[in-house]
Amino acid sequence: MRVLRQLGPPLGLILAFFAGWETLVRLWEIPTYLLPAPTQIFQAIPAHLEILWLNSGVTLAAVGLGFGISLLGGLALGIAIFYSPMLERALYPILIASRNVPLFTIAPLLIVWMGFGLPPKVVVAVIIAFFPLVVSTYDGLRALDADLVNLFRALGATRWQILRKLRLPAALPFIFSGAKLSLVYSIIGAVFAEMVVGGQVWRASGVVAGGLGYWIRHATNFGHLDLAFALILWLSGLSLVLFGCIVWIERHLLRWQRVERI
Amino acid sequence: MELRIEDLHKSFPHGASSLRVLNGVCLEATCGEFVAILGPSGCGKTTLLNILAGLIEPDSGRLLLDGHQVPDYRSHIAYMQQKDLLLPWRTVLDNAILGLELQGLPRQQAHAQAQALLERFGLGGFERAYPHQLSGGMRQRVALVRTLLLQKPIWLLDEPFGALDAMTRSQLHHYLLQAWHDQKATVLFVTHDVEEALVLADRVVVMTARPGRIKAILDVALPRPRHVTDPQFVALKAELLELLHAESLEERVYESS
Ligand SMILES: Nc1ncnc2c1ncn2[C@@H]1O[C@H](COP(=O)(O)OP(=O)(O)O)[C@@H](O)[C@H]1O
Ligand SMILES: [Mg+2]
Repeated sequence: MRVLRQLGPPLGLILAFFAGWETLVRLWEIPTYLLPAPTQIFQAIPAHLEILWLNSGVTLAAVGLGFGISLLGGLALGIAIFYSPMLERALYPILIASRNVPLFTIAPLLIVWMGFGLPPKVVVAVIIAFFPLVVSTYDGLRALDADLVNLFRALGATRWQILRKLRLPAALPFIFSGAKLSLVYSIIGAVFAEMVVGGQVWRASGVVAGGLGYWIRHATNFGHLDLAFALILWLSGLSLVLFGCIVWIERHLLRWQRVERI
Repeated sequence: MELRIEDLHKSFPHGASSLRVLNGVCLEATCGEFVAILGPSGCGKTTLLNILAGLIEPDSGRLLLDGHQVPDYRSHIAYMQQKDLLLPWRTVLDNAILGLELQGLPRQQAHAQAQALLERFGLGGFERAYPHQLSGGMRQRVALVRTLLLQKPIWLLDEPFGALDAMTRSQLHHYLLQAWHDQKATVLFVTHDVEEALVLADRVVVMTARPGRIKAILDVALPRPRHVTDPQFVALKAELLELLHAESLEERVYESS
């Protein structure tokens, strides 16, 4: 019931949007290569299921690797910067500045260096997904109440115990906001790289397996806008599912934040 | 364990100059003695305990345990700070066992020990609650249980019952005295409540206004349980109030560079 009340209004709005879209396309008889009607888009999904299915795997591999590396690397570097004032002074300003630089634009160069395939996509994903995690981990570790550290010291805790049982749990809410941002960035990075990387050398069951990004660009170039929109819709669905997974884990680990007063 | 503090000095940086907080504190607590420390707020009581717990370094002075300077004296001391400092992501039970867990005791064993003490301190049924679900008084009690569970020979308690109403307070005095008796600990108990000091302590130490030093020490040679209406109790209370009143009029700020 609660879920229905929460999801109802946005779903209704989306449905209304699609209905308006459908009406306009039919009323003005807009051709498919300019703007397909929602019904055409939905029909394109089962018609091209193989493309969607195979390329989802390709894209998810790049997203998963990019996000995984960003998560582990970001946590490690965030912790390292926290413990090393020298690293902090040297790296932190660069990290903050790098957020305002469009680093993903080096994607074409990466292809020159690394060729086609998974590696350049993962690198682009990591390049933009890594920094939010470093910064949020570091900020989270820094936000800790010094009195709590004193409590642990008075209880005779080791440095490792203080990190594991105090600093990291206390930083967890920060780390999760960084991880959510980082996930969105790794999807953007991987898909953008696929668009740039273009045609894939290897094929699976006769389908070019360049990933969803490659196919969005390809379908657009060749006027298959129904397929392009179907891919975009499909990709949005995948992103939402991935995001939902993180939110679910977050809710589970941070459930103490939501319990009510007795 | 016998505790001896010799000529403790401490100043904090204060702008360009420094704020002298402790000015030659000397204090002794014999083995198993319950000592209450009274003093106007800001006189350095918390600073004194922080030094004894090893959280801050004194400028000068010595701390002796059983007559010796012990390098790892911290491991003999259980300190309950003025703030309850519970971890918001841990339940009451898991907060209570924190010290035991950090010492490497298996969780199951620690839980069993904590359970009994939590019940005694009126927290039965709240084991699975999180700190922000509790009242200030309950949170303080969890912090106290966490401290007592360590079974250390010396307890430093900084206003442990500050956030409690009178009723629960006198109940908890009873339990605290029981635990003190069971564990035969040496206790330094900071409070701003004269009656509380007299109900609990063998001796009451009165500190001066900042910079703090010991102004007077009163023996409380009354059998427990003590009654606030006992004429001797009333006389001691009057004497302590007198001492404190004089100090509160004399708050001074020493600044030296
Ligand atoms: N870390 C610190 N840095 C600077 N001043 C401090 C610090 N800790 C305490 N003080 C000052 O020392 C004085 C004594 O503080 P405290 O020991 O907490 O007093 P009490 O516990 O008796 O109320 C206060 O004026 C306080 O502002
Ligand atoms: Mg204090």
